[in-house]
Amino acid sequence: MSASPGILQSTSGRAMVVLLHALIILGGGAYAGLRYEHLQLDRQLPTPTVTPRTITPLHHRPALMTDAELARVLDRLRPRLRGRNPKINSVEHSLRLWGTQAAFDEEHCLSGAELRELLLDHRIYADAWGPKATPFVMPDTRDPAVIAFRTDAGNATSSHVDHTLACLAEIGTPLDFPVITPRGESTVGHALDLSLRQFSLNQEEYEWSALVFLHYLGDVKAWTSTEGQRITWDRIAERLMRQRLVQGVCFGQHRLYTLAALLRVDDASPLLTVEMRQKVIFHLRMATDSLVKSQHADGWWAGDWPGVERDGPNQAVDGPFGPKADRLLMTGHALEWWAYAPAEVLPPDDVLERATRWLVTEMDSLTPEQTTRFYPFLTHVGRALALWHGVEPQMIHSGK
Amino acid sequence: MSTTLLPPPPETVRPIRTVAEVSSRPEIHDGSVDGGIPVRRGVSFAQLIVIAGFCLLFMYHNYLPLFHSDLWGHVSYGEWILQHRQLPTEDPFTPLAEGVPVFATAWLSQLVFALAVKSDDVEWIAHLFALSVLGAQLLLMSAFSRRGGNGFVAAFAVVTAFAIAWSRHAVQRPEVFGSLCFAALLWLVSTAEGSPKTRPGWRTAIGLFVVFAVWGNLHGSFVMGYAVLGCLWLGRLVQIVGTAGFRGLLLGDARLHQRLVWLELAVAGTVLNPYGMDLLVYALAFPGHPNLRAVMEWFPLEMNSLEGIPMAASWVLTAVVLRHSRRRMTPAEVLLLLVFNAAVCARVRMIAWYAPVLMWTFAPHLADIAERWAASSSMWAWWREKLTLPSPRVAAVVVLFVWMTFALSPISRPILGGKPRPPRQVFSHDTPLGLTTYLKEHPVEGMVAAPQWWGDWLMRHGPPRLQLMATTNAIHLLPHKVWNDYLSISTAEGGLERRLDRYRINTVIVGKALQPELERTMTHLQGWRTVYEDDVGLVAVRTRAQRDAPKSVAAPTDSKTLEVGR
Repeated sequence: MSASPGILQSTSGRAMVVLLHALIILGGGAYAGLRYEHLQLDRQLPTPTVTPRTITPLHHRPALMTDAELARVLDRLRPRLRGRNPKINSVEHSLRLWGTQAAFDEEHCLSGAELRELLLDHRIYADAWGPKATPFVMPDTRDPAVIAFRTDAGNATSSHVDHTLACLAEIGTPLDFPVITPRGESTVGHALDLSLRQFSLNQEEYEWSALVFLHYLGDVKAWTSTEGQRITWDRIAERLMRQRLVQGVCFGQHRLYTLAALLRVDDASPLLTVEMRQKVIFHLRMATDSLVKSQHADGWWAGDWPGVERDGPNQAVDGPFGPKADRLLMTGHALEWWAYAPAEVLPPDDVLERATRWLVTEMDSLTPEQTTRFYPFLTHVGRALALWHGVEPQMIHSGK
Repeated sequence: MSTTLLPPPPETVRPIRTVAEVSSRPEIHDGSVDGGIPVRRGVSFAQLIVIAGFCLLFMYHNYLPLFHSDLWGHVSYGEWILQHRQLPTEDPFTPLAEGVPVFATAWLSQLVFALAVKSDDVEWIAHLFALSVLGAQLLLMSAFSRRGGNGFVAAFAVVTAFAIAWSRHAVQRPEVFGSLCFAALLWLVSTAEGSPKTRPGWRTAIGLFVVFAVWGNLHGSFVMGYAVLGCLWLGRLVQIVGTAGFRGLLLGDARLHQRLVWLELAVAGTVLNPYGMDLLVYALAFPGHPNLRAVMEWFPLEMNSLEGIPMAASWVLTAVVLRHSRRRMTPAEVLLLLVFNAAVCARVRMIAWYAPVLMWTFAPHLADIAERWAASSSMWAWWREKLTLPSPRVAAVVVLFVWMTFALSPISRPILGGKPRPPRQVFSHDTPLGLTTYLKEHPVEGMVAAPQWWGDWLMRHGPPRLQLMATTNAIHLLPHKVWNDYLSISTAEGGLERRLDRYRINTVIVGKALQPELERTMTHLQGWRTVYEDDVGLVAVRTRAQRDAPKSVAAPTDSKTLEVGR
């Protein structure tokens, strides 16, 4: 072993050297730890607000239809979902249309509160779908504090990523609202936790996720996803505008709806840069132009609505329920997002009038069987008409 | 040789010749007198062989074609840094990586690359590369020689280390500068370890500080340097405790202190970078990045692979050395072998650092084995005398050899003149030269799916504002979802059209050698047309107007629409 030179030859010298090393190592280690903590802090997910933001429509044109016409349309859309195996997709759409305050004197109809219970209380869900059905509310196996709504796995599940949360957000469900899972009680907030954790700007369906964040993230302007990407509302807007117009659920109309809602929120609490706001408005204006050009003389649209885009013509997309269903779907959704869109994005009044008249007439002509089959997207028709009429659906229904 | 039941004390079986002893061999160095007998000046035949080996090594690396992969991403980064006079905070070239912070761990290397190509002569990169490899190998030779005290063993160790790490020998990226720093570290440590002086060598300490200060800005591999120094320190600690118990620590061992100072100086040197301590935190966490799980060089070791076979050979060598060396393995050596073996088992690319460490560790053991073998072989003694006999004629041959190496290598062109080599020789065979020319003549709009290994090349040599889905340089910057989608597209997995739609990709570039499935799919996919094709790749674009089978083409999108009505 080496001899001990210089300072190491005395006990005090050795003690000093040891102390110095300890200080250097501890100091360096502590600083490195602090930096690590700091870097991790940058990646913390945002803190949501308990009560969701209310996003109100911008436009009302009560003259587009009479109270009686709207009442007839809404009457068709009563949530006649009591009984075995109610489709979760229909339950969600119905809840979004009617809200939690709605109550009906009809035996087969579920009240708004019952609709929400069906989604958030596993016991009620198990009563409806049977005890052997896979639960709709799933506690996350890695973290029991986190819950997920089962998605894209049949009638007993939601149809789209974060669709359930978006519905709950739009009807004003607070994050501390209880959720009864097979393992016990949780809250809606834990579902939002999972949504935030799993969110990727490039996920396949993001329309509802963006809508959920718009409702629950208050004035949060940016955060870092678990993928390490800085998420800003500009980037979300870019993502919502990236794909061709017709691609996406309901012929791409949900993306336009979320963009319109984003602009609506941005009016009161700026989330977008000025440039991006202009870009979004331009995009919606372009969509409106396409819709104006492609509107049928009777007032409806179909899956071929975007026409030619910058990278070529669009392929006509046909839905599985036939042209009537496609037209109802497209026309209802278009009227719905226009209700939130800035004035410069709106189509001429005659376009709105033709669309409204066609919807009212077409809804009157639906058979009960068609109403049941088309129910989820008919709720968009009902909601769009109610918004343009300037009323909440349950108010019309209850005659207030 | 006498036998004893007692184990020999560490490092004392055969006196290891120190640097001073080795360098004092008068016949080689200065022609001074040794005991009054004049010695011959010149170079021995053994030295000629070694020098010839280094000349060939240099020439080979100078002629190696420039690879089409992330090298060009590093050049682009360097050019960006030069242009903007700052480090990028996000990847400036990959739109899908927007919002992901960049740690430019190799900014200095990138700057060097950019400066090298500033004259538009990209061959300067090849010169830099060859010089770096030569420098690293010379430093390793010197380090092995100092540790083993035997030039033959050092030459054997250099060749063996090079062979073990063969799979990494053509890596043209900042890692090459990391290898140079790593070799410098081993050389510095060998200098100090071989020194009979017990007090801390301040020149070594300063040298280490400088090496790590540069290394921290050149490449993230400085962590491997920490591993070496950490093993040396911990090994010494174990050795002291093993010999004198924990009380031994109170004796104030100079080497223990010295090695800890080295480690502290290494960390202090590394912190001198634009990111400070954050760089260390980042570099340590980097191997855990989820995107790297799909990158072959970050795979765990598989025996039937380019790295597995040399690793197996290195284990055989380890067994032979352990069996025949009379030197006791020090705890530091054991730790070095364990840590670097484990590193290769976890991530195959670590073989680049394992190989020199292995031979550095074994140099004194091989020297011991070689000495005993030489002592028992009279034939070898005769050969050794012949081989080590200095000769002015051999020296002349060496000068000629070095000159020929220089003159025949591309590096001589800036000085001696001559025609530049054609692109087909300068760039690797699989570089999409024709495809790049086509893209420049027919610029494409929107996002392009191209093989990530061509991404950096296309970014720099393709049309301006080319938007690529992935590049090698941005693998760790791409959100995990994007990287997974890229991999799925690259291998033409099911749902290809859906993914292409999601990124609004209207142009797909296929590398034929590694993407046969995608090539087959794109040439038959309805709604797509091949607009360019050569031996290495093809370009396919959408032809929307010609789409006439909506159900098959738009099936994924339709299926989403179907869900509404369930």
